[in-house]
Amino acid sequence: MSEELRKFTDVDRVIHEPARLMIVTILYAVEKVDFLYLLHETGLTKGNLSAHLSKLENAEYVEIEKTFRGKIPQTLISLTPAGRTAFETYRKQLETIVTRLSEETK
Amino acid sequence: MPQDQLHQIARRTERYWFEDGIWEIGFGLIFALLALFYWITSLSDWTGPRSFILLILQMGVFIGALFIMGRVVKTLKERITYPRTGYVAYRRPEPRTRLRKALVAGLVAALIGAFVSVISSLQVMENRLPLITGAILAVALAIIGYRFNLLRMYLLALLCIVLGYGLSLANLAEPLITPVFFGSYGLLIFLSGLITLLIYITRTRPAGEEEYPDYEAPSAEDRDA
Repeated sequence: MSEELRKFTDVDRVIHEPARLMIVTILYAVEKVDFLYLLHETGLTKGNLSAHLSKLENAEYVEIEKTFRGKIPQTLISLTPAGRTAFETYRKQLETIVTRLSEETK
Repeated sequence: MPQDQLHQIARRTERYWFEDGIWEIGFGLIFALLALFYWITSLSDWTGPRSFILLILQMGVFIGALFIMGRVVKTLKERITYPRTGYVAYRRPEPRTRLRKALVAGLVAALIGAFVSVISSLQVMENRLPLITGAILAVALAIIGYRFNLLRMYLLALLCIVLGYGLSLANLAEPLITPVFFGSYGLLIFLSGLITLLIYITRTRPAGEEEYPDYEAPSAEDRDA
């Protein structure tokens, strides 16, 4: 396997999945959001979104806090420091790979 | 996912704050309060040493109006926006940054007050004050439009210039010009916010208590799938 292709396999698989990447990107820009906001922004189904959040929580990249807004249950989601670092690392890796590939194809 | 798409997702999240028009409603209310302040103060004579007191009062009114705007915006968002399209808490700036922003806001308020006082005292420039200030406001709105990719801010900027030109042509004299100026811009921005809010309400609906979507931790089987 070439060096560049090997780098693709080194990226964080938890974040690399498109739906989770979208979730983490949204969370990176803010302090916290609620489940309803993520549902609207990602366009995922409730079950699908819950599954992805669970994976991110298991990786300790997000913190999920269940609270109430009046009588309505509200789940607040935020990125942990580890999640922020992981996302920043992922972005740098992606940038390096894309830059290298662009140079090689010139 | 390309980097620019990630950037767009992040930008869209930042833009969410402006989606419902509530910010403009609040901003319009600030201008309305300032219009009221200038109208009330126009009933007395504030020349000489008292003009300094007027400057201090103006800063206080501006900061007070910002505080009231914050409360109004927060309440409207909690009642209208969050139940419809969800809640976002934006990252708070560092304490040093907050202090710097508060000082800048105070300085801007003082500069605006001084600017209005100077221009008002220059009878030649008095008629140009609405046009000049409208242009400054238009630039600020255009910057917001560019930063957050909001088309309606460009339209609002254009309307501010048109309004400024119209007010300049109207050739109003003190004590009317300043209250009319702030009141007109306030009404324009307020209406922009109101129209945006009505469109937003039409396009969305609040999730009722029973159907409110919430996170459910997947079962062990689903997790392993």
